[in-house]
Amino acid sequence: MMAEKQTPIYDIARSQGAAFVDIGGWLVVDAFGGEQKSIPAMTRDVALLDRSARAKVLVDGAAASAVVERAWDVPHLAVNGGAVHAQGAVYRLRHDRYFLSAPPGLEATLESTTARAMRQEDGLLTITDVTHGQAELWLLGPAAAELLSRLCGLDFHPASFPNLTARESSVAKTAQLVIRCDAARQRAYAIVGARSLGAYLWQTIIEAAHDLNLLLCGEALLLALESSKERDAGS
Amino acid sequence: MTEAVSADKMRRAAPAGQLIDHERSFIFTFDGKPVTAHPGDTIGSALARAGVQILSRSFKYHRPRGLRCCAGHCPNCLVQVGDEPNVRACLRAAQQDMVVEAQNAWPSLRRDALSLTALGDRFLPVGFYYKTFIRPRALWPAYEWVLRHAAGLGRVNADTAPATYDKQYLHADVAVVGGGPAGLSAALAAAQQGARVLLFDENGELGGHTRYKEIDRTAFGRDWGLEINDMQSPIPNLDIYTNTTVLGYYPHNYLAAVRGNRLFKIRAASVVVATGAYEQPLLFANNDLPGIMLGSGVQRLLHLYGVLPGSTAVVVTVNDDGWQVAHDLWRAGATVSAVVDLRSAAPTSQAAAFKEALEGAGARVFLDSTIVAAAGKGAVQEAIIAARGVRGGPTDGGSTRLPCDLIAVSGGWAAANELLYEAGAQIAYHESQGEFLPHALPPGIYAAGRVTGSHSLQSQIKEGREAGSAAAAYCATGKVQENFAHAGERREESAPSVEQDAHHSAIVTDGNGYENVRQGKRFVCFCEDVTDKDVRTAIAEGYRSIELLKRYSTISMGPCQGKMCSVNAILLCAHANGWSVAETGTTTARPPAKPVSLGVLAGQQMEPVKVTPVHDWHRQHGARMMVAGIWLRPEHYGDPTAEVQAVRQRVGLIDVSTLGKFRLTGPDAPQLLERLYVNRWQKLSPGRVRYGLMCNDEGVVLDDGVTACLEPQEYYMTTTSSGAEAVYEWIQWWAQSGWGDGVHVTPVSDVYAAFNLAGPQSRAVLSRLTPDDLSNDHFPYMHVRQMQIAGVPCRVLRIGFTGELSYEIHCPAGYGQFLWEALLEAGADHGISPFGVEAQRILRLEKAHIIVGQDTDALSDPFAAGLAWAVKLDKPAFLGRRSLARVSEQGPALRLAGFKMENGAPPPAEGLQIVQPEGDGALQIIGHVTSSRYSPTLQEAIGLCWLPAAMVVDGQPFTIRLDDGRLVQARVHEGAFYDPKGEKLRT
Ligand code: FES
Ligand code: FES
Repeated sequence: MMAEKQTPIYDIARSQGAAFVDIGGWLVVDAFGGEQKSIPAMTRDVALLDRSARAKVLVDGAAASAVVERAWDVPHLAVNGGAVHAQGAVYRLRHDRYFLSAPPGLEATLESTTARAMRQEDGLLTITDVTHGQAELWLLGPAAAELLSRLCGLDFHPASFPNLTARESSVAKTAQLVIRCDAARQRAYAIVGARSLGAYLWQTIIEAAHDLNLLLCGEALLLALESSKERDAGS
Repeated sequence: MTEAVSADKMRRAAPAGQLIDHERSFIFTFDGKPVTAHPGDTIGSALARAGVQILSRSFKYHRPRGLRCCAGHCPNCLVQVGDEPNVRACLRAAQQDMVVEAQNAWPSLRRDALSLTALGDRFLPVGFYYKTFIRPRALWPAYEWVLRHAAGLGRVNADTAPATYDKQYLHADVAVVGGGPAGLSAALAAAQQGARVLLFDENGELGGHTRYKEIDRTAFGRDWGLEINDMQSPIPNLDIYTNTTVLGYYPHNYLAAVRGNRLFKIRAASVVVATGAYEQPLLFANNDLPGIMLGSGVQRLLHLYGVLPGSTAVVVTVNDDGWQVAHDLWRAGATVSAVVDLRSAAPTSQAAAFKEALEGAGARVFLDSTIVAAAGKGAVQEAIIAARGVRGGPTDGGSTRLPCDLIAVSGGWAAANELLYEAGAQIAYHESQGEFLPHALPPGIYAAGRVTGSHSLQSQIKEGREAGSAAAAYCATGKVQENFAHAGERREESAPSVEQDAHHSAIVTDGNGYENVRQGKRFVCFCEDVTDKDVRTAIAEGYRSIELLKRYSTISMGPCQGKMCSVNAILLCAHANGWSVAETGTTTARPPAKPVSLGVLAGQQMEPVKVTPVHDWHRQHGARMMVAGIWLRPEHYGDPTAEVQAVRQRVGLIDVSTLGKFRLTGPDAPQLLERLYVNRWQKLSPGRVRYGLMCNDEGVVLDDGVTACLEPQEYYMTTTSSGAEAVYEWIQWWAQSGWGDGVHVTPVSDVYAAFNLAGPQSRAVLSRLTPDDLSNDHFPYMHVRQMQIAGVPCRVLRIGFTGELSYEIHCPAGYGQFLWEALLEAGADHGISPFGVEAQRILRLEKAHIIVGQDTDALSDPFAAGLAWAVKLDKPAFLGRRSLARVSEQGPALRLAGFKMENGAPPPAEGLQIVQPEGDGALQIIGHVTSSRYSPTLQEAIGLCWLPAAMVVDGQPFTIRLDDGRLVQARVHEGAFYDPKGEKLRT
């Protein structure tokens, strides 16, 4: 029997009709069914995705900034700022803490590339793979900010919370990292927090969206949306 | 001769109402009778159109009450809609098939038996609840029963299905409260300057009083926003929230607002308060009769809903507004039989034109006159007016009785300044205006429009623009513009205006001495049924200060929160005391400014709950889940005794993913461990595991767990499940206070799932899934190994809480369910059983292991808890050392001890007292039971308890007092009950 990894939403998603695909050894929601027809709705309203399988690494230490910049060739970031690179994205959470994010299965790459950039004079630096420990739920679409503002006191106006912003805050009474990570030319927010609270947060978001057209969706729809956007851009 | 006006003559062709779709209609019921309504109607407007005059009964005397303000500012229209009590009929949109019922009336609204209380009003004087129903004491239950049934408004149905409520956070540079001319102008001006603006208005449309007053819209240009309701495209930077009531102002420009079932929490850099003003009633006998309305209420019905509330009207006014009301009524088809102006001079400008038109239509005009009383049975039938005398009351020259079915009262305005009070504005009484107006505003707070006493449209728009610009500038610069620092200073003081004088006199006259007038109650507070006589009585009894008067009389403490009575109460109080209004002062405004349901305040139900990676498996396999702190854990899978036996005899598997887990890295990690724990750490070598006991700086046991040394500079610490977050905060506190150099502490509790495989056959089961050597020589007790189990990378600690050979397996959480199932499958031949928290509690009790927080409390030190062996007082500074050194010298007064029940008695409940009989037969409490269970292994009841240290001697008998008072015997048992030498777990 091959060892397979499950996200904290796996059981709920299965009970909600999800079909799964293997990405990086994880069982990831591919689709909840009938979503292809939902692309127009998704671009109007808001979609909820479980992206907990994404690679997540914390880098702690006084020299975290220098090491991350060297490792990933990203500009110097202010606290709460972020930048994308070829493998994923980096976010500066504190002066001495970075959060690295990448598609599923790349956590070892995140760790090793960062570790290779360390120099003797950098002092103590701790690189921790927290992929398994954190749920990552995405809200995507025009109503994503409104839905999130029902659960979180941060100001999500683009002027205050532009793309690639990352802030730690309370979401639905739990500690979470909220990241603006637009995708497929849609406003998107990743909510990253304790794995054990993932199922609670998933259900709470669904309840909070009681009067919004919330679409549960998987990676397939996101891919479809991205490719339709690319087609739009090309035509 | 008095001529009563019958109800059926009252209705006539209604003017068009701007909100009403006359083309369509539907039916709802009021007290079981069908009522026709149109889209756009409120319950109140539809009832008024249908000729229903009585909507409610008053709180104390159960007097009939009808529409008064049509704006949510009075208590008169509270009704029950379905299961929802205290709905304001004048605000709630009518809906098809809605079931509306009158409340506070029995058996019916028209004939309410409790209205007989008015006959006994002598026995219900002001403050009666402080004076009556006290003696004889024995009768209090009966009084209480009656009072509880008579008191309160509406009916709560506890079986109502919960509604959906939620909250939303909003942010702005400028929040504007009030969408009238001033608020609209402010919002537009601020938005035009680039500020992010939120505009809130409690009505469905913007425009404030311009919605129901005829104004010359072209005179003011387009840029103040009156056309905003018709605008198709959004205004950049401006978000508008209609039907949204701002309930309160909290520090740092935090506003709470409600729309439907949603509570908004709003943060703004600056706030413009443009909340307008409340029109005020006047005092006269029977001033609460249905058919007596505020002038603005009449205008709302006419212009918004197309309802003419009466056919024959008398209008009483202290200002020019009343003349417009009278003119509107006449134009809508009513007969205006008289306009009574309390001012002596004839009105000027536009009001003069109204007067001319009204006189031309046959209306009688009474200047320098007042209304003395209203009369009528169930509704107003006549107004009694008289000329004003020297003190403002009527002269002795007699009164005039005017038949009517509507009395419209324009009694002046009171600024809606609650939010300004809450924001810390200085509010002062302006003699010239006769209003309490903002005098000085805190930085970032602005006021505009009627709330500052500006009653002309031009000045409202101008003030709004200025306030909006200043608020936007404040956001940009953080500086207060000079001319907005003190709103009130721009106002010139002058002698009281004629309007003010008129309003004053109408309130303070004592109402006696009119010819031909049968006296009636003159209500100051309609919500609480407090009359002017009550106010005078209270003041005579010594409640002279306005704050005391409020509390004693309950004036201004009703559903309208004083909007209809505060000002009049202050005027009366000032007059009765012989004080000026400024000397009298005001009461304190507190949120919420408008009633709000508890459901709205509660919002969406959110109770965070943590589950382990194996949660779904537990549920699917019959686990009874229990709440353990924030976690859901399996208590047992049906038979905890069988689970204990499986662990003792074969092998069991428990999910301990809930344990706190931390990664400590860096050269100074051992030093931090030394300081955090009372035992020694420096010599813990890679591959070893050690139990750690953590105390606070007072030497009280805080937490315990094990820490494994993985590499020279890497440690893996576990804590109790419930203590994980507190321990992390504790470590951070000390790390950031100077002990954190050279060490990083990273919480990884959720990164790893953890299972304990326990029992004599655990090694055999585990060896099926890993090629690693698990023998005692290669992997002894209190050691840690990295190994692949079923292909999953795991960290395995050879430790256990159960006293059996055990492996605590930590794996990446995503593999949790896979590994759990793999272990159970591998153990199937060995009779493996999952076990839950209950079995674990029994197993650990058999080993006399403590649970921190259950067997210890906020006073327990390690010496008392039997953990003295862990305390190394000879090592350098660690948390709790000073206190523990002292305790070790003195010795503990109480000690935690094991016990067995005597004579086959069942386990006593946890928490029961341990007692010692004294000579006189009394029982002295000497300790208590902390843990107790029946041990399936020992086949007897065992436990842990706190006892005087001197009694902790093996075999010492003691007495436990059961809940029912019976005394049972137990004996101290020293050491573990099971495998006291600990041989099994070292096997
Ligand atoms: S009439 Fe409804 S609150 Fe006054
Ligand atoms: S009239 Fe409402 S509290 Fe007095």
